[in-house]
Order: sequence, then C-alpha cells, then structure tokens
Amino acid sequence: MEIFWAQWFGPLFVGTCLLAVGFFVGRHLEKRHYASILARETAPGQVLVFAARQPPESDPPPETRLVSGSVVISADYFKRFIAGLRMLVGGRLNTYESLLDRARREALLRMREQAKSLGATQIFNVKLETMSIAGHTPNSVACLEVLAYGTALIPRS
Amino acid sequence: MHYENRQPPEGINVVAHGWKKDFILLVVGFFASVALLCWLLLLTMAWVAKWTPFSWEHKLAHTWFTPQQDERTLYLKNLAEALGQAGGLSPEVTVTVHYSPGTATNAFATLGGNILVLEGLLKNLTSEQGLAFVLAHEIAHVHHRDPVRAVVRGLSLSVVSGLIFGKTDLANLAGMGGNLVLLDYSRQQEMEADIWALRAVQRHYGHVAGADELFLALLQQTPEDWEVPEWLASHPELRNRIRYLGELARENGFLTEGERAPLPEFLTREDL
Repeated sequence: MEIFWAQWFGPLFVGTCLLAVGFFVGRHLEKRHYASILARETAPGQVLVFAARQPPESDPPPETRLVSGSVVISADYFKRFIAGLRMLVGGRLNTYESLLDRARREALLRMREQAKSLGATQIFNVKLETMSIAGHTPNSVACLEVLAYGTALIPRS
Repeated sequence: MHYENRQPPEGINVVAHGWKKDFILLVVGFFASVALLCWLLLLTMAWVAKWTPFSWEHKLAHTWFTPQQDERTLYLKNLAEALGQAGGLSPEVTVTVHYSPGTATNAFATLGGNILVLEGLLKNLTSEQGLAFVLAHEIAHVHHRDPVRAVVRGLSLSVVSGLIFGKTDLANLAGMGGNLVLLDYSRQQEMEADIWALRAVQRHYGHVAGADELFLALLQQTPEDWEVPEWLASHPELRNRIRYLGELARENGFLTEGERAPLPEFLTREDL
C-alpha cells in the first residue's frame, strides 16, 4: 500500500498540482504584467527610444549617459510542460514567446525609467541582449535575463 | 524636428492564447501516438521473448540462488515436480524451488525457472492443496515464460521512454502510463496462471478443494478501506480470483470437495 502511494499518487498528485499552479498563477501574473506594460508604454511624457547610433546634431550638445534596464524572468511549470512537448515536434514555442516579449518590453521600460530619473528626453543606440542564466542542467528552472541599454541624451538648458 | 515613439500593434510577436492549440494538439495527439507505439512494441517484444531459448534465461540466472538440500526444499521440489507433470509443463523448461525466510506472504517465479517460496506464505496455509495451488501458479508463470516477458516489456518501455523523453518531467508521466499498461498485462498473466494451476491441481489430486485457501486467508487479513483499485494493482482483485476459480471449477466439472492433506510440520518449524 505504501509502495502504491509512493509510486502512483505521489508523482501524479505533485505533477498535477504543479501544472495547475503553473497554469492559473502563471496566466494571472502574465495578464497583469501585460496590462502594466501597456499602461506604462502608452503613458504620456515617455523618454523616446531610438535604435539609430547618432543623435541629430544640436547646439549646445546634450550631456550623454549610459542607461540600462535589466529583467530576469522565469518560465512557469505549465510553460515548460508545453514547451517540452513542442520541442518534440517543432514549431512556434508560443508559451516562451510571450515570456520573452514581456521581458524585452519590461527591460526597455526600466531603461526609460532610469533615463527619465536622470532628466533625459531621448535614448539613442538602444540595444537588447538576452541570455539564459540557468536551464542548462536537467530539472533546473529555465530563466533568462534581458538587458536593454543605450545612450541617454540629457538636454543642457 | 519632432520625434515620437508610436506603439506597435499587439499580436505579432505573441499570439494571444497560443498555448491552447498547443496544449490540446500536443497533449492529446502526442500521448495517443506514443501509447500506440508502445502498445505495438510491447506486443512484439513479448511475443519475441516467448521464443527465446529457456537455456539463455537459465544461464543468466543460475548464479542467483544457492542450491539448498534440506527437508523443506526437497518436499517443495517433489511437490513442484508432481504438479509440473500434472499440469503438462513444457519439456524445455525446468523449475527449481527455493525456500526463503521472510515474513511476506508471497511466492514468486523469476528468470531461469527459479521459484521462491517465502516462510510467511507457508505460515498462512494449512493444507497441501493450498500450497500446491500457489506452487502450480508459479510453475504456470515459468511455463508461460512470464518472467522473461515481463523483463523484456519493462526494458523496452524504459528504452522508449528514455529515447523520446530523456530525463524530463514528461518521462515521469510517461512512466506512469507505461506502468498502468504493464499492470494490465500482469493481471492477464496472473489470471492465465490461475487457470493453469487449477487444472494442474485437479489432475494431481482429483479435486480442487483448498485451492483458494490462500486467497481466503488474504481476504480476511485485508481491511476493506485498504484495498487498491484493480486497474492499479498487479494482481486481479482477491474476490474476483476466488469467483473465477469457482466458475472455472464448475464449468470443467472439477470436484470442489475432497480430502485435504495437512502440511507437514517441518515446513513451518522455526529454524534453531
């Protein structure tokens, strides 16, 4: 009987719980995060971001500062489960796409926030970098860092 | 010059609710196809295993047990030989019975025709016919080559699971599904062994009285709320086993009443 419990209900129960928690909590958090991202991106008075390397000439030349925003984000159990199945047959990893999209946008928002606190109005030469900081060994949590950085222009009065 | 950052449209980098299709298609489709594949593989492998020479099995397993020569083993050996003859044990297999001290109420057959009878089992039996049925049941497993089939099934499932899933969470889930299938095979084999054993007992003693003795004893010992649902168990449910033994005896006209010989006293004697 003990063996029966250990063999069957243990893993099955734990697996189902993790999936359910991952699904409900993960979905709720993602929804909330997207709402917050959209609200902040569309808020008035945002620092402008540009991928161009050179800002247009101006007189007097603005003060420049390196600004960055970084996000570390982790996949939930449900996302990982779906991705695990997807990797067998190939195709779009829908669950990871939303994860990375959130991370990129959040990183840009944090960078803009930093620039704003310095009094900047524009950021040029904006670049994004992504790296996985775990997930190479089996059973470790898949999480990654997205870093956004650029040159903030602070106008001289 | 005026600059602005316009909000790009949503739904390009990320498909809203994209997971739904993945979940349904992948979970249902994938597990269905894996199940089908495993089912075919198990069927083929078990069929192949049945045709492997018994001598291979014997060679592999002959070092696992040390031969015993005491009174007890001799008695079990003679009984097994008689039952093997009565049941029509195929000539290419040989059966070796071993006695083992151990409190579990159990006897099992393993590779190489080795049958292990535990002390706990003998203590739960009162008649020779009760023991004969259990022994004949294990001999039937050897006759049907069940141990090697079980090993091959288990191995092929592990290989498939390892190849497809590797060391992931999915492997656990797949392993559980695989175990359910193995248990189903196991229950089928138990039933076939019961049928073979009942015939052997009838041919040897001329009646089948006492054949269900062990099941009745086990049934008394199991509290009702501790019972495992049958689809999760390796053996058919006790009441079902008792019932179909009775049905089988009726259908074949086996006598269910007859003289029961008591077990010799030395079988259950404590070793000094």
